[in-house]
Amino acid sequence: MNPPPFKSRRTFLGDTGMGMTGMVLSAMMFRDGKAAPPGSVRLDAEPQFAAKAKSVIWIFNIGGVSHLESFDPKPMLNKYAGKSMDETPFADAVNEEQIKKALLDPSKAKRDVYKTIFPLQTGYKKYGRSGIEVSDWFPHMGGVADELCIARGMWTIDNNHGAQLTYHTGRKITEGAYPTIGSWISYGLGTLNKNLPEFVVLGNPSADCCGAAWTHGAAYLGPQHAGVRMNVDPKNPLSFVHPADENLTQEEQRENFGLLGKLNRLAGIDYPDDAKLKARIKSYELAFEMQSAVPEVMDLESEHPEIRKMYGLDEAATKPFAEKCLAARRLVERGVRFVQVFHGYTGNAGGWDSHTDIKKNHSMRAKQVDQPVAALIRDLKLRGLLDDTLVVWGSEFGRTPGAETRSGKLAGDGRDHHPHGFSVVMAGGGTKRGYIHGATDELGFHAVENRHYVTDLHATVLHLMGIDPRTMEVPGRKRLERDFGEVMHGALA
Amino acid sequence: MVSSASLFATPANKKAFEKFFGPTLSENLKSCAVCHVRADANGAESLEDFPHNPFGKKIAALDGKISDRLETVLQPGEALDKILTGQFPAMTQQGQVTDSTLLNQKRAEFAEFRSRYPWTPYETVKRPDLPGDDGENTWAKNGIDYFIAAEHRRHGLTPRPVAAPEVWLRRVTIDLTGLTPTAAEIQSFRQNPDYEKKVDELLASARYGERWGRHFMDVWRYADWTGYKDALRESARHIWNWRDWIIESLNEDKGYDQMILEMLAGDELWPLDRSKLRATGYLARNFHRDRSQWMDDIVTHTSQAFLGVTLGCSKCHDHMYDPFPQTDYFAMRAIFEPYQVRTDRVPGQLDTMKDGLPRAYDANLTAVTLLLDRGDERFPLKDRPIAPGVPSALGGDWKIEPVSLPALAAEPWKRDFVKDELMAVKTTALKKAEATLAALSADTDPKARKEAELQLAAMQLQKAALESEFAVEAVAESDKRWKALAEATFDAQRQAQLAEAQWKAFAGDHALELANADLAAAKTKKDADAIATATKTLTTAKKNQAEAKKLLTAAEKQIAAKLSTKFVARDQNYPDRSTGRRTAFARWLTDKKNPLTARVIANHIWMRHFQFGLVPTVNEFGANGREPTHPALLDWLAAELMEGDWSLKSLHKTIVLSATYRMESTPESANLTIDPDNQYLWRMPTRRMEGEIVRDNLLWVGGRLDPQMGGPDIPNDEAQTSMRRSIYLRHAHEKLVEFVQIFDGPKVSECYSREESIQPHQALAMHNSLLTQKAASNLAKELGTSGNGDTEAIITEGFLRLLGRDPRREEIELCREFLSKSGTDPQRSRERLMTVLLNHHEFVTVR
Repeated sequence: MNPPPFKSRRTFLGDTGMGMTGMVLSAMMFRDGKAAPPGSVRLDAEPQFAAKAKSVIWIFNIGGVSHLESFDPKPMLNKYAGKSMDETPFADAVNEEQIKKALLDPSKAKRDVYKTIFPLQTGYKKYGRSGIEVSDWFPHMGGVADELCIARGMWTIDNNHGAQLTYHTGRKITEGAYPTIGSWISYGLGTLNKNLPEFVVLGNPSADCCGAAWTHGAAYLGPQHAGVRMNVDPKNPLSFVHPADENLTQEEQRENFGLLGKLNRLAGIDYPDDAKLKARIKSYELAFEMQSAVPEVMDLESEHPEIRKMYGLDEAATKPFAEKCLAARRLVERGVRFVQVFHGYTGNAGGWDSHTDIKKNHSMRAKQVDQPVAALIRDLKLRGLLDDTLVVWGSEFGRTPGAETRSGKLAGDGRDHHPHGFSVVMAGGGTKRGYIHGATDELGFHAVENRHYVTDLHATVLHLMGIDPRTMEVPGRKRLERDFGEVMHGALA
Repeated sequence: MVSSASLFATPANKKAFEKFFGPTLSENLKSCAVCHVRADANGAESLEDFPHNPFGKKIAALDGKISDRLETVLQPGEALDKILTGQFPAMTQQGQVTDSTLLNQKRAEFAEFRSRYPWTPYETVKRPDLPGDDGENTWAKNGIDYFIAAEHRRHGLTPRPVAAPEVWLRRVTIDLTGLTPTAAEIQSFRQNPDYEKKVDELLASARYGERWGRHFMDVWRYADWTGYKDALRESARHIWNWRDWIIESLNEDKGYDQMILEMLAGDELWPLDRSKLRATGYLARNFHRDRSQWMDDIVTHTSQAFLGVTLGCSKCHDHMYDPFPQTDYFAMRAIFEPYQVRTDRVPGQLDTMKDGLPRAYDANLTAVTLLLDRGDERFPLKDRPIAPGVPSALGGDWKIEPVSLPALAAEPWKRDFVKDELMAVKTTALKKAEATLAALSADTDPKARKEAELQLAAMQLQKAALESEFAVEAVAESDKRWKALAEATFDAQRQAQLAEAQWKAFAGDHALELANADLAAAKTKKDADAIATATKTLTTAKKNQAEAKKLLTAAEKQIAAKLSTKFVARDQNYPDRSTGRRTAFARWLTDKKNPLTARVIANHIWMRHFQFGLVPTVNEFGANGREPTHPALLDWLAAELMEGDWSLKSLHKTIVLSATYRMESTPESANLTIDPDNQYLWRMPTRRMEGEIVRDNLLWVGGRLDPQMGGPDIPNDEAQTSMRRSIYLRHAHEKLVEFVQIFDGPKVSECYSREESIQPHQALAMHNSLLTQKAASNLAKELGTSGNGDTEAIITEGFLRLLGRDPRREEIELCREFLSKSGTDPQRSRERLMTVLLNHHEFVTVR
């Protein structure tokens, strides 16, 4: 950054203007008040190469979704149900060496391998022209199958729920906080709008066990790049968005901010070069805008009844997540770069974590998300937003092909954590439409084709947003090869 | 922008290296990341593919000549001319310099570089002479200013004038206490600006320890405990004891050397002094459930916090910039390898989960540290044990002497208060049993009476058993009386056990009988609710009775066993010796010959007065850090500190009384052109209050700040309602104070210096928070009732209290207009004006 040029008093006053109108400037300017990390590469809002996507809606399902009963159905599980894997033609599917190598610390992360094959707990069918197979728990997603790009070859390194953090940073939980994908986007691209933050978080994030605020944190990139949590509640959408003094009217607040702006400008007379003062003045102007902009975004009542119905706002089971999906669309419409939406917060491992009775648990969770997410994709498409909005739907890992019995302690009607092969669903933003990228083996155990570690997903998102992750580094912060990931070129349109 | 760090120079040695070797430096050697990224990566398949350390062999492949070049630049004489003339073999492709003018120019440049203050951070501090002669230094107030003025002259800068007294007062009051001066203080100081007296007064205030305590908590990584449910993940319960020790130590101006000794080796040096044991909270805080992470943190952060070197880089390979071989990392780790954390009991609380003193001790006296292959925890090299040691590049004396600890340190449960409290529990139980029996009336059910009698017997025997334990504990095992006492204790314990089992068994039978009767009665009455309740009671009674029977059987078996000396000891014993490794390390650190300890802390303190350290990278004094702007000044400050018995208060005093610190922070055109970043301090830097200090002042200016000091951490979600200073609020992973974090609050895992961002969230928090509202409301009330109610007086008082200065005429007019137009309720109008002033840029700004 260049040093602040010296300016005369008159220039200062002219620069900062007087009055509120026309004073709202982009958030990039607020950053000018702050020191960049020494020598860091900043991209200053311009993508490095042609970007396909402008915004990302990143939906995270807490607890581990069964890839087998969602987007990677395996008929062999039905054919050999109840048999040991050793009795099937896929006896050598379980690759102990690969398991040992992939897991971050096999000695501490020991879990049984369940070999008794557990049949699919729901049916599945082909959808659309693409003929993509989707389970019966996700009929609405099936309805938009031709828009989906499903990566079936994902794998990760933690077979416990610390993987929720890994999914967002690429690092294991014991390594601590690292920048998450959303914070890299914020750091690399900045904002597209004048009255909202660039990285917004909806829904309750992972619990304390599994990363909590780190799952949307910015770590060493600095707090200004961390996700800003908002509630889908126009009455209370954001911390400190409403004055503690309930009697203060908006007009009174406008007057307060008006006087403040004038006083701050007068104070600038003695400090005409003070960039921080200018940034402060502007930050108050954006704050003022946010106070009305944020509740406006969250005002879902203003949506057409048909749209509300499409998302499932009229039904108790779908309403909570429908609200978040609809709010996410409204946020990207207004230029928010990255919306991270959590589903399945339970205060512990997460709602999708179905060690027992997966049929009941998963079908209930699937019902909560299926219609809202499908509606989101459809809605974006109808509005012409899907081309430059990337939707990503996933969870920290999949679930085991075998029935979980845990040394006879469980009934064997659930599935355990499964980091060796699972699926992530993408749509729009420059991904292929109606496309399957990668595969697991016949039992859905190991990812065998187009294997991708979770940071490959990050690399792909960044690539679609026009950023090469290798150009973003902060001196003194060592990045490992695995942090960067590899772009899933095969999945790109 | 203001702080653009890229404008700072790189370290001298690196600078010379780049200047004279730059053209031939391999592109591949210019950043750590190049080597830490696998060039031939082709999609990682497993952890094996992730490069833990691609250095080592790889560097040779990148550029075989690099080591030759490094050696050459360190040699004087002929090699230098070869470099300058381009005759050095690796440089020949650049073309040789034959033009003598050019060569002379290069020689002159190199000579200029060498004539600079030879700052050698790895050599013992020598007090430098003050530069310039006295005639040149009429501006100077003390030694600091001589060094600052020398750079002013060198760069053609003119220092800004002395700031108005109230500006200096606000600056120094916030710097030393974290709180703004009151209106009365400002007025009194204006009338009688006695700078030195004011500084003494501020340093004597208890608020000083709270202010600087937080700074040290940043450097020493203070964190309250985190965990999931009862499982501890990081830090320690009751770690606030260490926080209180920090604040108290600063307030009593304990020498920095003494603070280091207490923190790193308090358990070896003062094993029975609970007050000093609190200091080892530094070590307890580093607890991590993953031991390898724990050990890595303690080496990485101890070396950065106290020495300003990144020894953590040497875990996987020899340090790439500094003279620390890989073994140095493990030698330092070996210093800490034996230690663990335990929670000692504190008077008044038997349950250490509720209260206690987390402290360090050496648990494993024979702990061995193995070199890890390329720093990989999975591959320890069995044949490469590393002895404890300190980096030899830093010199100094190093001697380990094992420490023998007093008996009470090894057996803390023998302390008098622990025994007294345990006995008190037994005595209370006995008295209660006696009272229960005495209260029974003559017609009490004989079974109930029997039960009470059995309980009394059990309590009597339990107390007797404890007395017996105390008796045997008081005698050494070698004593000839021991055997008889031990056998007596063994017997007393089993008698007490039997009596309790008999009591419980009888009570169990009795309860079962009653429950059966109740159920029968309920059934007779056909009362469904009563039946349900009685059935539940019966189930519980059955379970209890079965358990009691089991206990009784066990106790009867024990009574029948052969008499022995194997009584059950009350608590755990700890080693009665300590390795002395940490004492040796702390003594080495605090030896005045240590080149880094004093420089690093002086630099930290300087940074917190002037925004930037003299070495801008406060945690990195090595070659990968940044060159000091005033190397000689840093050495002078380090010498002052050590000669002043490591008194931090004296160092503060020297700094804040300097002419440098008294300047205005206003800009000046010519200076700005020469030194836009104010690296050479031609003006006082402008800073923003840290988040904690913003919050503290919202409480303070409204007259709401609770001055209570110390004690357990206050839940972070009470930050808007608690009136205690922010330093006492919980600060842990996932348990942070939102308001403070919005103002760039400290990260838990490391925070050697703070950021200063400006965000719309800060505006929302400032304008809309409950803290602001309460402050504004109180201020409005006070201002409305004090004085004569004159509008201008109210405005002036508001400016003075909140911004530390008088308002300008235009400001008065704007505020007056605002008040006149803002409704009919004067209290409410004033409240809104106060809200505006609390949101003023200058409220959070230190000019």
